[in-house]
Amino acid sequence: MPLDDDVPAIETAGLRKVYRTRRGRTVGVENLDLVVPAGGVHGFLGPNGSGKTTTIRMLLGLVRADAGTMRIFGTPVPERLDEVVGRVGAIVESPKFFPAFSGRRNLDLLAQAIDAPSTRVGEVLEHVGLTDRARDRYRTYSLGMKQRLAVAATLLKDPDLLIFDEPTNGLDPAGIREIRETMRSLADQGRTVLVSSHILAEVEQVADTVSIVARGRLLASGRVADIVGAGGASVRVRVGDAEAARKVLDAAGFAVRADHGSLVVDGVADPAVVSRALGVQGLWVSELVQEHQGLEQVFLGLTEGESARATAGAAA
Amino acid sequence: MSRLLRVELRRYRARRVALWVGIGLVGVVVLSTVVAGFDARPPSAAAIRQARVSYQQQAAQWATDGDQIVSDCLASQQADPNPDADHGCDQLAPTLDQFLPAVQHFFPPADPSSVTGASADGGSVDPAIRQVDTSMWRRFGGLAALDDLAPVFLFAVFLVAVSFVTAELASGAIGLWLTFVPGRTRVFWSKAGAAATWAVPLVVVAFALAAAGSYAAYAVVGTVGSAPDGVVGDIAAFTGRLAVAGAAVALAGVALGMLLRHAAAAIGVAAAWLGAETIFRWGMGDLQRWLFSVNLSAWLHGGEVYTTDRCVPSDTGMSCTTVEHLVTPVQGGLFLLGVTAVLSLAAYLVFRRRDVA
Ligand SMILES: Nc1ncnc2c1ncn2[C@@H]1O[C@H](COP(=O)(O)OP(=O)(O)OP(=O)(O)O)[C@@H](O)[C@H]1O
Ligand SMILES: [Mg+2]
Repeated sequence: MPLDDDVPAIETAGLRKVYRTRRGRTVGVENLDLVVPAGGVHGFLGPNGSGKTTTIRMLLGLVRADAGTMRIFGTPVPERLDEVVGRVGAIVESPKFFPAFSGRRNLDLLAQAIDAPSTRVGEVLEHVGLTDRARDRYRTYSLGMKQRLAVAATLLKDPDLLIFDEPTNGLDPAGIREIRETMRSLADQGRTVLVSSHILAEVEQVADTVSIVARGRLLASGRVADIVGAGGASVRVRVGDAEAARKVLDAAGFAVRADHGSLVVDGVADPAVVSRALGVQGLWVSELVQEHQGLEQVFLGLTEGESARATAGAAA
Repeated sequence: MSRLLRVELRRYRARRVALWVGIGLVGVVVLSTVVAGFDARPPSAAAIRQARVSYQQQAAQWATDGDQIVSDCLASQQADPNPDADHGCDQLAPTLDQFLPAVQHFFPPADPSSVTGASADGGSVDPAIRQVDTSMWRRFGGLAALDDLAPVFLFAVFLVAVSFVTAELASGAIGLWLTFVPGRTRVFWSKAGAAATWAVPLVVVAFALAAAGSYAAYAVVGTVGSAPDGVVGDIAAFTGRLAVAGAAVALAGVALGMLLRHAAAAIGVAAAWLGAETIFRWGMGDLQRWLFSVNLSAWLHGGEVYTTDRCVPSDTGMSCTTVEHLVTPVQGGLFLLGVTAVLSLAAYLVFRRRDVA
């Protein structure tokens, strides 16, 4: 299906949700501006309780936002959700079906609700490899099978946007890879996949773009390469006289720190400047490695900064 | 809407609770037929012989003591300050009928007092109350026992209706459902509609089977009796009103399930309410008019009578008379409608705004 690249798949502005419970108020999402470009896999990253699920629930009209606006493919939701819901397949948290019904009957009911042809159920079951167990009760499925049934359910609609909320929770490595490949192939078909997770390595491998949230706020957003790059690269050097080398680099204005017997120079894009600075002082580099920060370091840096700020704010 | 309703109807039928309740209803019908079979049997020759022996002993006793008893009675009647007092002194002699075991018929014979229009205490009575008190369902016999099953059938459809929604809330399947059908209005009313629609055949079939079973039990032993005028119409009307009540109770079940979210809570609330009505009814005086059970019965039976005590001070203390009051079927129907409408509307408004986890 042709997608208008200019219109983001998801766009939220000033989104806010406060849960009111008997024990007080919990901020779920605070002033969130999220943009998920159409096409590709978009990682939605954040630690536990950062508001990922809450955001997804609001997009799907399951939870009411307290403030802000949301659009899916340019259509305002939840006001006109019924116009776009047919283009959105979603798994929110763990898959939830009727336990006493078979996988097949669960999908049959959903298909009938959206008037999908009954042959479609067989197709999606085949697609996720559940045909053999389709007549068993959902209750008897393993976690991986439940997850696959949930994927099958999202495919019933032939959606342009798929939302997977922590889809690999509880899966074994093979199951995780399977889900990853499913997401990749869906994106390669021109669909948009939004996948929330707190497992970074997993998202880094498959996502084209990411948004990082913590405490209900957006911390960073963009292409994975840019976000990782923004943290800057560092250069690890090993020099015979580490003490002298450190003085030289300090004097030249580099950010140097000692690490396991070698020196790490942060915020340097080109390693050559380091070796030149040492060379002119007669210090010869025995080993020089360029290191990229992984998404994980960026993530931890960002989210730790956020909680430090929150603590400072609370103390003030 | 009609598509969603069809899907919900299908889900209702596929549910195991519906199956088990269906089986349970068949069990109730079988049981009621067995009981009818016992009731239908005319008294055995031995029982009749025993009754005759007892009568003859009493009659012999009467032959010696009877005159004395009657004159004592007449004397006390004369001494009564009330000039209209009737102590029934002319009815003291034993009769064989008093000793013979009663024969039950499927079609109950008309109550003779309904013909005279006089009440037992001789006072004049509102004919509408009279009619309710002597309606077919209040008499003695197979048909009159059948309406006792109505609450069982209604409770059954209530149970299925409650679990129809709470199963979905408890499993979280409602969340997935809403990502397919986001319109809360359509979602709510399709569920309510499905539960109400299924309630009708459930109670009608159960009642028809129970009636057929009872009739057959009486027919086998030949104690059907003669069908009173218009009995078919009466049964049809009762069945129709039972069907409407079934739909109303199912709607109330969906609403309570939706509001309270847990089947145990919804069933507990309903059971506690009805239990409290039964326990406290006699102290409630005129409030009885607004009890659910009274109104339901008024709707089903074409009217219901409740009594209050009216007490006035007299020289010997308090003198109380029992006063009968009529609840019309129209009031009963409107009451059911009102309760159902209020509950459904409240549940709908709550569901429309509720966050689904
Ligand atoms: N139904 C609810 N009632 C009250 N508070 C809630 C509710 N759901 C979520 N919250 C709170 O909102 C915040 C955000 O929760 P949310 O589930 O959106 O986080 P998340 O990013 O999905 O976390 P996780 O990675 O653990 O799934 C948390 O503080 C949570 O306690
Ligand atoms: Mg979550």
